[in-house]
Amino acid sequence: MRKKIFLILYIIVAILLTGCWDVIEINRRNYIASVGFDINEEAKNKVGADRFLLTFVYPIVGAAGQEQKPKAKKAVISTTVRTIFEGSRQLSTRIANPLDLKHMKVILIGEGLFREPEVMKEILDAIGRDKRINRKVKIVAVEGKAQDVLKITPKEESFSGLYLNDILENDRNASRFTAQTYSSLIKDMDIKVASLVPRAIPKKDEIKLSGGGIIKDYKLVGWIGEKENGSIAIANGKIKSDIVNVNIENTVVSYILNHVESKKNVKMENGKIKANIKIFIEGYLQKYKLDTGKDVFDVAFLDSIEKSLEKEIKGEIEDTIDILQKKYSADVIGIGDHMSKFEPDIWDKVKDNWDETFSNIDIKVSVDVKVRRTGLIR
Amino acid sequence: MDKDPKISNFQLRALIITTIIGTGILSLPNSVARELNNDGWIAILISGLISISVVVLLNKLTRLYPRKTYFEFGKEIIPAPLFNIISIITIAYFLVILAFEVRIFAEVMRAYLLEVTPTEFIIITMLLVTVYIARSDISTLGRMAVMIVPLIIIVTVIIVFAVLPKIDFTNVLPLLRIDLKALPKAIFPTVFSYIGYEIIFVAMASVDEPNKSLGYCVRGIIFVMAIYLLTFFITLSEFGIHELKRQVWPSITLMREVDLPGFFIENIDAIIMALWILVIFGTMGPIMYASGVALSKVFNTKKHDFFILPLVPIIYLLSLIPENLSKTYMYAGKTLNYFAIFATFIFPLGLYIISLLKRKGKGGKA
Repeated sequence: MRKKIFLILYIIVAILLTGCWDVIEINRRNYIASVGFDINEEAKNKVGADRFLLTFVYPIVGAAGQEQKPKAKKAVISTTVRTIFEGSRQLSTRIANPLDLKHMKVILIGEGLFREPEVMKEILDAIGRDKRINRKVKIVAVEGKAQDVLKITPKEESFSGLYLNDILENDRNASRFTAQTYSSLIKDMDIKVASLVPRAIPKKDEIKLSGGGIIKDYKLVGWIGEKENGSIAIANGKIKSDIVNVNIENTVVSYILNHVESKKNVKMENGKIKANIKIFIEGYLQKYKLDTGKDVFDVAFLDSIEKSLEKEIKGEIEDTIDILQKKYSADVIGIGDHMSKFEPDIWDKVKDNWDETFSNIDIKVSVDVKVRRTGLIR
Repeated sequence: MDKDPKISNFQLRALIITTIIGTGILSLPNSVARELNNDGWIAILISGLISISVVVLLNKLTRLYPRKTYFEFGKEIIPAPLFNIISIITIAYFLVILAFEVRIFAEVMRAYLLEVTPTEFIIITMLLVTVYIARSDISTLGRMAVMIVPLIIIVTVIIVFAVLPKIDFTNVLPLLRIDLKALPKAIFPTVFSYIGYEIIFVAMASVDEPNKSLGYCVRGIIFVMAIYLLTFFITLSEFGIHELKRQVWPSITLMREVDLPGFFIENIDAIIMALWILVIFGTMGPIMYASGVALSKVFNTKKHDFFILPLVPIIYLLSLIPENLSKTYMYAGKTLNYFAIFATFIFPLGLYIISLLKRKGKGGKA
């Protein structure tokens, strides 16, 4: 008798375990590759109006098959909403399949929206709270409207979201922009209060990623160019490869740096904070000039090349730091981060008005360049 | 053979480890970071040491009465009706642990894997599966534990290696800036994450070499402490202190940070979750078994297995009392900590002192 009861019980368990509430077949999902957030200019000042303009891009799954030939390979769809997560709900009245956010790669944020810190805090909270969105989703600031970027069909890849993701992941030449993920942006906001987000510029049939937007306390305060972005990346030691051109005796010498180490050192002297940034760079010579009578194997000449490279890089970094300190007072180079970790006593004193303090601290940069290889000819 | 099942000391250690590591590890880095910032590891260390001392006490107590469980020899130390009250309080404590574990389990499942599946359903299926192991004897539990411990190690190794390439260890700094006033406040809930060693109450009766068991028990706790510390440091280095304070379950969210180049799966939290279900199973099985054994001793029956299934509705209802996740943690914090102090520390300590006094008295007579 008892055996029979348990047999029945086990059978019930087996039946119950086969069900799945959450099943949605893979061909019934629309995988969102990227989302663009913009401010809805028309309803900007109305209370309770649709504040945002949301743009989703997703591939039409049928297009991957060989037999069918659908009209378009991707769908770009925009909607105006009051809160951002209303978007996918609202769209369900207009598209056939549910939207799937699990494989979202890039979030584009329009300039107008990024300049409103309170709204940005809401959006970043919503992204962090949502379990469907990967925390490594990349954040890109758009000069102009995010919608415009997503509408573009690039030449190489018909799919603007994935195309942007590919560019961002190709970090061999990352000095022109620095990829920023959601989690690293949040970390920067927590510690440094300032960060850098790559800038996307919509062109006719391509998207250009160059330079970056300076984010200070969740607000976009300004843009910087590729050169400044490279200098910041070097100062932070977060760079894989970059090219530096320097003029030596009327010849442009190209130098590829492929290893950077940056060490920061902060001291308090007579009530003034002094920061030292020591940068050590390794690389190789890419280009000189034939028949100049100079021999790059000549140690003295190589030393002079290193010296002029040091001067060049140091100058660029100092100029950039000057812009950061005077124009934006945004601590993108992570002095505050360094202090909170290694000099917590000083940090506790200054962290409350770090903005002002940062623009007044002494920052000294010293660069040590090594030319490790000179190529195949002397 | 079936009448007197035995477990080895090795199995005992595995049992202690699997029973302790459960849902606590998910929220532990967050809760200690909220109290002590970067120095949360001190709370983990100190409460680990406290747990070791409690385990030493339990070990000594159970060794005074070989071949008998806590719920049997208790009746010899103090009058049986009085001890039955202690037993029932301890059983209630076990049931609250089970309800809490299964509720958190269901919440985590819903948050990361099954979005639409009702919480009630996840709870009831998990409980029914646990019933299966809890109805068997201690040697089966011992073998299960030996199988689950490597899983815990594998999960930890996967986590560590997955996040290691991009981790920033400077986030651990600054070290040793403790706020001594916050320390007791932080240690109290952290001790709670070590509960589960109560399995010694019933398991010690079946250990084949009880005299050598002390080292195994202590090493079990040290193992857990090491896993907790590792989890704390890894989550802290990955998130930084501010983000760690924000995460509800940093140990799983950690998996969502993983983005290995050329890695074809992205959200590997699902894999970790699947392994983690077994870890929860390893926590709930022994505790349910222990509550069954305790009930059988209260009612003086030989077998414990028919007490297990009637526990399911009680645990089920208990687990559904809190309306939401924050209330779950609040209720658990309010009840479990106090329960734990009485059931695992004050009662055993009292019994130990009384039994020592009794023995001394007897020795004096003879």
